[in-house]
Amino acid sequence: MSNIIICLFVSDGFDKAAQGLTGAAQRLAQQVGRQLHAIIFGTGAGELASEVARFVDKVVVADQSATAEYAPESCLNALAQLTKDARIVLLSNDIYSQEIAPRLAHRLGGSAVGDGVAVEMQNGAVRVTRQVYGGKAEAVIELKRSPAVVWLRSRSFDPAAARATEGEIIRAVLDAKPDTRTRVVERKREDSGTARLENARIIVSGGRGIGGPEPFSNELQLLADLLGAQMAATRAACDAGWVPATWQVGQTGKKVAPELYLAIAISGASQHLAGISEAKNIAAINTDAEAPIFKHCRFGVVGDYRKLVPLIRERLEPVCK
Amino acid sequence: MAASSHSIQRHVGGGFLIANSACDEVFTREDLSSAQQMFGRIVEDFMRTEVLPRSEQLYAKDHTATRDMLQKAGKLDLLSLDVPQDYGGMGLDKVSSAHVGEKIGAAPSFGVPVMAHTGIGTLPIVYFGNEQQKSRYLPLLASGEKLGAYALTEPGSGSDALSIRTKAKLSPDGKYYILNGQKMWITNGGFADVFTIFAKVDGEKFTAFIVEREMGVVSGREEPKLGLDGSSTTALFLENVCVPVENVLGEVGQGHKIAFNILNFGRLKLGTVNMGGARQALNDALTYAIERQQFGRAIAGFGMIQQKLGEMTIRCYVGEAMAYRAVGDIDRALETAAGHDSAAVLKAIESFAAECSMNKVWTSEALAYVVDEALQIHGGYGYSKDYPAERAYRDARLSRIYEGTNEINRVLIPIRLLKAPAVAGAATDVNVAANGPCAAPPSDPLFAREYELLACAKKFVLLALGCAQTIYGKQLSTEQEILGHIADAAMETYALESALLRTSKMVAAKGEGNCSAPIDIVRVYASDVADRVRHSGKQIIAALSAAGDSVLPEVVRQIADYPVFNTVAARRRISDVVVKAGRYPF
Amino acid sequence: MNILVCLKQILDPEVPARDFRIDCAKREAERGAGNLVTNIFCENALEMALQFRERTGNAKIAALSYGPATAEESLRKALAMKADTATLVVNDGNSKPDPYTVAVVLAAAANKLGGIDLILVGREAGDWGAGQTGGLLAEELGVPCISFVDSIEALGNLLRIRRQTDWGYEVFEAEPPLVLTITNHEHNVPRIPKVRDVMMSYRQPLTKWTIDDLGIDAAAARAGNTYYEVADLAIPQKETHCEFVSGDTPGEQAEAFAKCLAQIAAGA
Repeated sequence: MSNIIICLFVSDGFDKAAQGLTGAAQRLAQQVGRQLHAIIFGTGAGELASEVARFVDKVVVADQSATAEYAPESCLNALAQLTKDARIVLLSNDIYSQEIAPRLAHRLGGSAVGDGVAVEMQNGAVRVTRQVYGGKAEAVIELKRSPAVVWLRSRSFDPAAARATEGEIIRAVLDAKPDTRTRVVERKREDSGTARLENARIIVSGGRGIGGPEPFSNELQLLADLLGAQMAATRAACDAGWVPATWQVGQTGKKVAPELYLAIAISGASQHLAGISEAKNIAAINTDAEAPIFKHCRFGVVGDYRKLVPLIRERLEPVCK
Repeated sequence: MAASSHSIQRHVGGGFLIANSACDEVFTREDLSSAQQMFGRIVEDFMRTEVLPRSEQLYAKDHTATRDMLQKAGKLDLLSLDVPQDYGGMGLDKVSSAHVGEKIGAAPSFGVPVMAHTGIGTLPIVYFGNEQQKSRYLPLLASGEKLGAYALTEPGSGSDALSIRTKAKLSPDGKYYILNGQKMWITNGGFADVFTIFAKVDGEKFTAFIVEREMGVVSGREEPKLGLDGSSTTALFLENVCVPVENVLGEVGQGHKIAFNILNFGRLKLGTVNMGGARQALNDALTYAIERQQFGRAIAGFGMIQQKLGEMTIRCYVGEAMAYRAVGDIDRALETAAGHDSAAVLKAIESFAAECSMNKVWTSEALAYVVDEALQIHGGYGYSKDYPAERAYRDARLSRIYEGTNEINRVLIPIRLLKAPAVAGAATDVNVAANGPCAAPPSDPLFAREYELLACAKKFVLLALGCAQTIYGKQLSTEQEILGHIADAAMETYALESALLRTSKMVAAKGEGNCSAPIDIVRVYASDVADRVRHSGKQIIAALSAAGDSVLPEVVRQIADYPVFNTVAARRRISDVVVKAGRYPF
Repeated sequence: MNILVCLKQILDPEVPARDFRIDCAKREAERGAGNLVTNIFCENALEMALQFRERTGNAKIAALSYGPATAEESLRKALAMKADTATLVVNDGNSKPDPYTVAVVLAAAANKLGGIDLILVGREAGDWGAGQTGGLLAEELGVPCISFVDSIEALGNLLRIRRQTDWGYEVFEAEPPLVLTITNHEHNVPRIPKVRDVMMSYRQPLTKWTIDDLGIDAAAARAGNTYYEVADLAIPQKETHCEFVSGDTPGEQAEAFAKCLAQIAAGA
């Protein structure tokens, strides 16, 4: 009872996000001296369970029909039942977790907070550190009610240590009536199965200054191909309809942590910077020497990308091939 | 007593010289209502989403893009603010229209085409059109479906507007006027659809015509200009252009009324438009000065830069005070103008012709100072096209030339002041000037010395006006230099009073402790005004030496007595405030 | 269909980091010289409501805000964008109420307005970015919630709703009443109001309520911190020095830049 519980969805397997979440939870459980349980939702939860069991005290597999595929109302009902005695529930920052965490807190009479980059217990209260004001400041939020439901920027956390013995794996006992007030009728993958942007090593990204869709699919894509990079964009470019919404990086969008983030015609508004704060190196091409992006760069050039990118590609070809 | 015959009419043109205003009687930028501020934000949002992303097209004079932007602005009602509601316009007050102008002034390459369309391109029809003309053209101009331009200037005729040579001859069947001639420097010339063109019927009668492009107007090439890269400026070639007689605007031979009145209107708006450009340049310079580091610190902390930032802030603050005050006074006069009848409206605006001219000259020169220092603050980068300073510098230059050169306006200011009956009377009655209402400045513990200085300045301007009038009589208009000096003194007086009133109003609302920068601004400005008016005064006295007048030198001596004030420290304090805010905070 | 759009007025998030300051004692941003604006996602929400009404020809749109007196401006702008009604619940308590408090207040106001079928809120606010108000509001009202929505269509008695996911999108069919949290999309960029509509908006009535009018625990609402509290707020210091590549011509600059890129790409 009063355990730390993490909640995982099957879809991504035991990826970097799941590993980070497990690591954060494990360290927290150790700090407060409580058991760590994991709930895995979705078809295939059983297969994932054995992997997760290496790191936690107990794994609860919830792959009943009501929870086979994610649907907010049903999943929330199930999760509320399974976590009602928890002290802390931790989730990752995928959209499903973001969506149900506050509602879960409400159901359980607790408090939620999200996008945490650090979580700890202090004097019996859960405190979470997170970016606020579009990434311009950092706040520590103290939760007042129990359980604490916290979703984390899990990729930023170190993975868990394997335990000496594996945890128990049990199947969830659920009073699961599907809630049909809302029903998923279609799911569409738009990123053609490529690697997740959050895991990309090198990213080539464009902003409002690109001016249209063609340069993304031509100039920038060719450069990305040379570098073995993935493509991304700012909210402005997505809102203009030049690129798919899944390319959006920022406070609301993907949070990425590449070795190299190349920002082309991106001014560097703080909401965008909030999504790349963990990039190891940022480089920029921009016609405006006073663009804020340059204050966060390792190196940059002031100029028109239309002139510079083809020239850069020319110089890179012999090296990158 | 003499004062009672000049019963306080301070809110008419020229009234500032013979009476004192209370701060709650003048409009200041802080008085903009929530709705008026929202109009300003519509413009900002529009510029950010529709104009700035397409700057390159604008600068390349891609007329299709410019027309598209103007029409999108029209959909938001931004082109119809001054068109009466009866003809599809918003019929807004002039303060709202001026505030919108301030926002547009931040990007002159777009602002100038807009102002040319909405001002000189549309207003001649608003004020001088008959019913058919207004119904036919105004809705199309208000929406931006048709774009307007104004064609008065010719290769050989600029300031001397009445010397134009474009001719209009009535056709034998009496249905058309045939126009022949050439116009020069026409803003929007490359794409406008509807032109107000001035020509002389039978080579003599100065007349305005509404001419549609299809009637045969041919645009010349785009003139290669120093700045305003996005603004279309062309010659117009009129070769046997047939204009239906129904398109005569106003009456044949009465076109000068249109020309002069429309200029007043344009000048009225220029105050806030120029200050919009100044504000933008100051903000760009602040950004640079705060981020640029030399010798281990931001250059914003060095004295030379602080002095510039301080003075630039002063010019913006004082210019806004003058511009919004004048527009507010005009709105008040228009409220009482009988039923917004065109003739009454024009008369009200004409009565403030001196204020309009003073605003035009003062703000255009303040803008010149601000963009010049903004470029200087950028150092070598100010000279580079990668930074916004050089464009602002080039764009600003025209404002001292168009809408009547500053030289012409300086000559006009004293002439117009003398036309205001109350002023004329006070100027030539030495007793009134010396002992009239302005002899007793309002008591204000915070600005006692400044109000004393102001009273002396008003007295001086009145006396100088009277003296000059007495000595030269009808030849006064030929003494341009003296008129120029008197104009300078009058402008400084109006500016100082406007700044004092703006600050007093702010202090009353927010408390002295929260207005330290505005208070410093007023004191520095007063100190400089004392020096400048003293300088003008000495020139005037010397030039009028035949007067043998003893009152003028005495007043100038009183002005010079304004106590020494540590402007170095004050400009530093002002600079610190704006640097801390990161932008011009008023 | 009665649609309620909740709007939050915040300090302009476009204020550059250089000019952003915090009040350490109050643990919130300093007001400074920045403007107050309506949170962009709230405007996306309003834009979607307006487009829904245009497409179906049958919806009434009520705008609601819980905020200080200045929030009236956001509601006037909503009216100028052609929302039908506007209501302000005046916040005279905690200037940064926790999301639960906001949800309780908004739920009470929604109930007081009555007859609401669909509630749209922004996915998160540009200041605190908690991203919880929509979900908590749905729980308070006992209705379902779908988040990160970018498209709403009428489908008989139901609604067809598309929402963005990390990898694409999902489409739902849902029955009102429900709460949707809205995210930005190419097609819901908020319209700029016309001058005439701004003028009209200031002549329209705007309802103002206090917390006491809502029949909730007013003291708790004013305290605004029973769910969570900001224990600390700081601006992290970041030291980076950007090296601008050398070169007199674009060719030379490109050469230097490409070298830097290649180094990192290889070494990583």
